[in-house]
Amino acid sequence: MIVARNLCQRYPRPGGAAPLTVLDGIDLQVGAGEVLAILGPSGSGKTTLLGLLAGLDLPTEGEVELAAQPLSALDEDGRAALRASSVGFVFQSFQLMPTLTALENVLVPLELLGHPAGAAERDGRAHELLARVGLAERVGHYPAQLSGGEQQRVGIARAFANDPRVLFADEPTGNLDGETGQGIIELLFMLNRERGTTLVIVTHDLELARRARRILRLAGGRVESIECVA
Amino acid sequence: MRGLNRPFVAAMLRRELRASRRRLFLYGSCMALGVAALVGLHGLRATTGHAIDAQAAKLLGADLRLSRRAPLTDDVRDRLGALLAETGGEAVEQTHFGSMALAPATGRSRLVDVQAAGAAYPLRGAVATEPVGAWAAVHATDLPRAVVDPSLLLQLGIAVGDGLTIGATRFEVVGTVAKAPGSFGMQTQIAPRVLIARRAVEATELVRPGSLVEYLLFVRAPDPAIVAWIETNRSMLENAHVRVQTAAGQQEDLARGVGMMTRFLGLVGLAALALGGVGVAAGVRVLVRDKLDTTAMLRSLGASSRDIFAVYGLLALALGGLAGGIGSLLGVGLQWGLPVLLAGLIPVDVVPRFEVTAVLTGVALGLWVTLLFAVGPLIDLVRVPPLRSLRADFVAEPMSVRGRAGVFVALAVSLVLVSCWQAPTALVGLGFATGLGVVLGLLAAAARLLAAALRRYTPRRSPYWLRQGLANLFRPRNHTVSSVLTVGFGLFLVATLHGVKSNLLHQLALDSGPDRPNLVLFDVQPDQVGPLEVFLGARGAAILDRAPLVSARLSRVDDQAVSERIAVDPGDREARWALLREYRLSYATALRESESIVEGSWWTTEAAGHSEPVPVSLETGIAKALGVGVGDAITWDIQGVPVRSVVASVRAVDWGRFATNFVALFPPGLIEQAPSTTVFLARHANSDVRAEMQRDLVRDFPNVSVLDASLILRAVDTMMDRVALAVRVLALFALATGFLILVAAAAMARDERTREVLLLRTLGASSGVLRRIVATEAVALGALAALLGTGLSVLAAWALMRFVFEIPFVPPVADYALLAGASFTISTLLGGAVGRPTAAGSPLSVLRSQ
Repeated sequence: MIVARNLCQRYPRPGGAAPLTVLDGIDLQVGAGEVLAILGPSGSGKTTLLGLLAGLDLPTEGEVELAAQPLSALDEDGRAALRASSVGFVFQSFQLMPTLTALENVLVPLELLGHPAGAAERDGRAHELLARVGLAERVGHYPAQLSGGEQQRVGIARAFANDPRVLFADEPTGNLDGETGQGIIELLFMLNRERGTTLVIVTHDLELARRARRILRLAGGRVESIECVA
Repeated sequence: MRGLNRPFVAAMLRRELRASRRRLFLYGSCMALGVAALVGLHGLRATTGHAIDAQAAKLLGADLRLSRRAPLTDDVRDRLGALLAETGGEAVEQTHFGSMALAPATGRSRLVDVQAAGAAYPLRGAVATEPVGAWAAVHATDLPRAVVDPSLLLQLGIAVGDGLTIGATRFEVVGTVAKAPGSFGMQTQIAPRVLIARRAVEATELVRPGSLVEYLLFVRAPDPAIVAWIETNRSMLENAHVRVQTAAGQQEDLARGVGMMTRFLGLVGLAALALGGVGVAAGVRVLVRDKLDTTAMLRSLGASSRDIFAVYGLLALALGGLAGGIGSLLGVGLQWGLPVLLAGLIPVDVVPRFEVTAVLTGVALGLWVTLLFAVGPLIDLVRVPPLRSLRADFVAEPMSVRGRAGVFVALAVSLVLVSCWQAPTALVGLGFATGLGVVLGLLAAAARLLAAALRRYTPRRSPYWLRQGLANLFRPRNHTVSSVLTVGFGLFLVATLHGVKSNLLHQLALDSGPDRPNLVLFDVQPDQVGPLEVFLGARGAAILDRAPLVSARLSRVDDQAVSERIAVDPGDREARWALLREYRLSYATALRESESIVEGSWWTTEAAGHSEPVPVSLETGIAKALGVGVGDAITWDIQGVPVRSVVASVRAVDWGRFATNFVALFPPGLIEQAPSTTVFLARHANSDVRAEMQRDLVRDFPNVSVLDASLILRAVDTMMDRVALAVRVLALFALATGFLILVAAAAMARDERTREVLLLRTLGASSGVLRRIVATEAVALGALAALLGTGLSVLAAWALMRFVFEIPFVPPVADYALLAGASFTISTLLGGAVGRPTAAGSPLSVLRSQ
């Protein structure tokens, strides 16, 4: 589902200094339905790698294929279209639109996808997802009226709204307490199982990482190890 | 390339509109006043245009008017007779001149505008009188009767039924004029109208050779026949120096005049609109700043840049449409107020009505200006990288220099285009746009400079609230430039207008100072010059200047006959007028105080010979219109006698000075023999003596007219007040726009700082400290705006006085202080009240919000 070859990401530095290398020679393959955890200390390049795999940015060198599409062959709008149809995101800081209700936030990917179903069907699907994450009673609430855990559950419902083939989760429990975080993880994995989605999670949390089939450890922008979890 | 995702755009737009209602209204109202001013003025122009179309013939009193400084020639009369016979039309004559009128009942006298016409006058429209039918009553008997402007009765202290002496005749005033063709508004202030029967002129004994009399003939006939008649007889009319005015021509002239006035006023409205644009730009920038994360997230979820641009571009258009809509509604309301504001300056009765084009113009302007000012921030929004949804420190690459230059050029070009479209001429539009750009640029630069100075020099040991309040002026997300720029500009406009008006009035007052003339006596016949000097001397009046007037026309310029010159190159209106007009020549030995030589040299008495070509000195304007300079030959027709002259010098004349000024001057000893009248400038400090003198003058010199300068001063003052009031009201629109933007900025700042306020509360800041922080910021912004606005207005008023009006600048210090104080107080109170921290929300909500 995801193939990365010799990914390098460098950022220029002012004053003619040597560019800052954030990722250096990453090779990676993630199969359909697989769960991959990317683990590493702060500044190791985890989020940058996630961004490149999801097509949010293009690498300085190397190539990424997502859902059999070489990303470098697509322009920004092409990559956006691919994300709309095949990718879901769960963000560390939830990234809900503060001016939209929980229901409307979940509807956004369906609208972006230009979902062929009518408005009633789209609403039905968003309601169902919100009910699935335990927020059936909170559909009309705005993010500011929800707790952090509830906001992330809306984020998960939104991530699954377009039935993605790949789901990227960036520190999904980073802003939550342990217990709430645990609930969120359970939810994420449950939905992942139900829908057979490929899941790529960036995390600091080793316990969370151990629930994946493979763990990719990054250090200083390089792959330190890839570990298969039994 | 992927197409626009319309359902998504529509859904997002609906939600954003719902969420941003308050903001849209706030930003939109910033621009609404500017739109209102322009819609109001466009509406007024359109309704006045309709009124002029409908009333042009009534205003002229006929379909065609012929006028001449001497009785119409037989040739003209014969050809006109043929037209009337052919069309079944009608004609009526009028003799028109200025004279003194004396009220025997009170002994007061006054310069009046005598219009002596036949009973059929006017052929179009009517002379409306009080009581009704008074004009007919003037013609109903052989007894001398008159109807007069109501102001004359007030000035002379008489009533209908009293007598009024004009020349050798005593008229009975049988009514007042409510409305009549011809002069309107201010013209009647200097010389009120007296309408008498034409047959009564002779008995007044006022029409003598050299008198300033105009002979008019009003014609009623079908328009096409008139057009054809003028075309056929054009050269004959020009050769006979007959001025031709048709109802259609009058219509054009009036429409042009009103158009010029509303367009000039519109420029002030445009300034308010441009300010509104600045407010919109500031608002959209804040909106965009708030939407950066949302946009990054939407991009991550698959929204294309086109979708994002569409959502927020349409949101901006909704804002522009809202501003245009509100502004148009206000502008339609303003249409009813403007005719009242401009009373006396509009020549027709205007019935305001709903003008669809004005409203559409308003909405279009609102949309265009919004789009222009919003496009920069919107491009920033589209450039937000989706990666920002994962890492908040990812920012869009700044727009390239080329891109920025493109946005700037689009803004500048649009400003110039709208200015040129609005202004009376393209040059004025360009000048206005440049001036606006320079002033806005200077204000913005000064605001930035002051903010930078504050950053550097904020006292470190001052209380926390003071440091924090001042820091709000320069730290990220401050509103210093937009607030100072907009309030400062509004104040600049109002203060500059006031400074200019105050200086012009000051100059007029100087012109009425102890060494300046305050009486003008004209139409003095040669045999009256000596006796009049004795008359004035006996009453203690000082004669300050005396100049003979000789009527003449041009016959050849540069050895080419005037008629030939026109045939070869008709030139513009001004050039034709300069060739065909009647000149009042005079002679002088020395330059007056109001004159200076710009080309050639002034003659000495010795050098001034009597042999032709004689030297002549021309005023710069007329020399330019005639296309002549030093050394060029001009032949004058001085009442039938050709006099060859050569341009010896070109003079700049300050027409604003109360003095005897002439466009063409000869040396002494050349034109004295021609029939002439003399004008005297005299002075007597005591107004009672002046009044008595005017009464005795009418008795002893009935043909001599006298004008008291205080009347002119009063009329000019009234006129300037009217114009200044209209301009000031529109300038207040700009100032109000500035205050609205300040309110919007304060509200934005409050919203943006809610989290910070709550955080400060969490850390233990009391409500008093929070209020003091906001108050400090409001006071500093108000003071900066007042200081910069007033400072720049002093500079601008000085420059206008120095370079345009060429008179010394005396700053009205107290008025400036008052204006600056008022602006400071209002902006501080508004900024402080709107920006004060809200009590709503507990510190806990900070922890929940994103």
